[in-house]
Amino acid sequence: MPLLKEIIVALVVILFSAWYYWQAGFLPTQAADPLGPAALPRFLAVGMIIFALAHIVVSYFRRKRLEEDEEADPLQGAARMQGNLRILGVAVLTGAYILFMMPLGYTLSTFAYLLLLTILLGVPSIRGLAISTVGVTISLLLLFGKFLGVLLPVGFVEQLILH
Amino acid sequence: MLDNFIMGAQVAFQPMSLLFIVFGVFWGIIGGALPGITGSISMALLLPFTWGMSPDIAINTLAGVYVGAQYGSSITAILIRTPGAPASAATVLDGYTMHKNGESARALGISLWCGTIGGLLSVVALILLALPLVEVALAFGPPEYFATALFGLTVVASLSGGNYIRGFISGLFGLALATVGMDPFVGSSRFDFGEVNMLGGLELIAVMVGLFAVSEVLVQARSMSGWEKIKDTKLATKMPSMAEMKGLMPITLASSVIGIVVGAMPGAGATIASFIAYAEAKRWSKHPEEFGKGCAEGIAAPETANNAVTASAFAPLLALGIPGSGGAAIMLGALMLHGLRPGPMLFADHPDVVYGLFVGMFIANFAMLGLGILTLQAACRIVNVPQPYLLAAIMALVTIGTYSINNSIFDVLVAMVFGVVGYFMTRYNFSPPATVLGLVLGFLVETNLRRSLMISDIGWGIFFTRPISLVMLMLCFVSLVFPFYRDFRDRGKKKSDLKPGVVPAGELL
Repeated sequence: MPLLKEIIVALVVILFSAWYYWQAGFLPTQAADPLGPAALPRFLAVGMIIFALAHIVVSYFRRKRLEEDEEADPLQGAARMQGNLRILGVAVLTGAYILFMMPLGYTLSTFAYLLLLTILLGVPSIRGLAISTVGVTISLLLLFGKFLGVLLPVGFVEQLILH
Repeated sequence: MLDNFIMGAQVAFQPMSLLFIVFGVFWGIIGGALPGITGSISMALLLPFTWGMSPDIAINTLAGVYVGAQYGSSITAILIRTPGAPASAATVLDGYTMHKNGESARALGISLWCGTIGGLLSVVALILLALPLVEVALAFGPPEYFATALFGLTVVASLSGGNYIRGFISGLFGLALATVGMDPFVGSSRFDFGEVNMLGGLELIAVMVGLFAVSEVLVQARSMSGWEKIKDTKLATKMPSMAEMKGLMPITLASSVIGIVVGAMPGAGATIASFIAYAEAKRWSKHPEEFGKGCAEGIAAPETANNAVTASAFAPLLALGIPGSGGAAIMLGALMLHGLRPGPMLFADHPDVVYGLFVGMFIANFAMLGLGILTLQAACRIVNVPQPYLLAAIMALVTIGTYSINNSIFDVLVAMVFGVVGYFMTRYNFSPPATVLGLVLGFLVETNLRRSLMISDIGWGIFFTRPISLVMLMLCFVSLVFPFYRDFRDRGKKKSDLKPGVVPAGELL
């Protein structure tokens, strides 16, 4: 099983490299530039494919060690599933944060993101949750928005304050 | 020269000048520590405020920011695996591990002390060798730059933690990422999927934040046990001992030389210097197997080198008017803003400004040490909060930090995508630092390779007929072969230590 995983990883590298090599073929060339824009990408693609093939061969000879490493993973069974779901949760929340940051503005989107992310990761205390969520939102606003002059996304909360 | 130096000291030791140098260093530490706000951005933000100042105070303030930012970027690299600037990417490898081992102040202390020594030696080099350094740097043409970049790439072998094949794939992947965007010669777009935001290439800081910080948050979110509240606060706030610093002195001096020489080369910069210093430290170490596991030398080498770049990067600027880095470019702007034209005549016409800068940089390094010591304990305690709060705060910080680079949501998206890529790379033992190295060096490799071949009309001999290039290529070869030789030698030793007939599991290859 671990060997199959390594083969799949190598195949992903090979597929990416093949696509990269193929895409390089569409790049225009110019007489004044002997190598052209496609040369390095092609060289890199071939290099990655060679190393990926070597990875398969090495993994085959090291399959015993791979099995030992797989067994050494502290997360097994339900805990592993929970962990993977938590990662998915972080990804979904972060995606939503990026999506809503512009329409909602910095303050509201960051406050909501911090609140939900902390809840997802496990809240040690309600008081701590409130302090950290409000504290981090205001600290980042002061640091980036006020001191460093970054134009943070403006939403209705900011407009309400400004007007 | 002594007269000029005394004049410079009189300028730099004015109370207002001292005050603004300290303020500049403080500003630099804060800016450097924030992901997305590099030293040059911190300088640029302060530039308008220097308009009303006298030229010597303005230049010294900005020099203070530049110096402070180098240390600032290592604080977050060590404490939350988020380098504030690319130059601290190599520090993550051992700095963050040492912090996770509960020795946060030791890691920060090594970074601070070694960085100060590197910075001070760099100022000495700038004073004594400004013009000779520039001559050395100018002897570098495209073939030499290509060979140097290639030498930098051989560091991949050191960053792969024994998984050489995966390390090389990671490095090549980084080089491939560097080809995204407009071609530097033909001007055609490459691998940008028609996305305007990718025309200028992938934003290095966004990729780095993703590969290091976001991926680490994902790794910790999966297990929720990778980081635990540090119970032994005595250990966490214990600074490195004098004996330890003495032991690190050879590596500090060697890394200073690397930083000074690389810093004087226009376009090379602190990131390359720190990676090369890390690799050399590992190569010559008596215990290379400890690198990546919280080794003091693994922090000392990159931190010394990236601080040693600060003053020597000003050598081509002051002597020739060529800004070799982002920070030097801002400094050029500041000099011109105050009616000063860099070049050999600057030394003759405005010795007060030039030598004031030299002395000011000395003061800035000491100010960095003082402020660093004062803020170190607080920094160690700030990250000692329960994991859910810390991880959520890191995510918000890196998101806003990445957004602030270009005020672009697209950069944030890039950081998050590379966070996922970095997570899978870490999980399958690939090397995110090697990818960052490839991305950093990609432009230098490609442009100088193509430029060299244009000069020689596709004659590859150009790389072997020029002495500097040839020496660098020979070093590349040694650098690539040495880790394999060392592993082979160590394996032989291990086997000879075992009883006859016993072969350890997994040692069949």
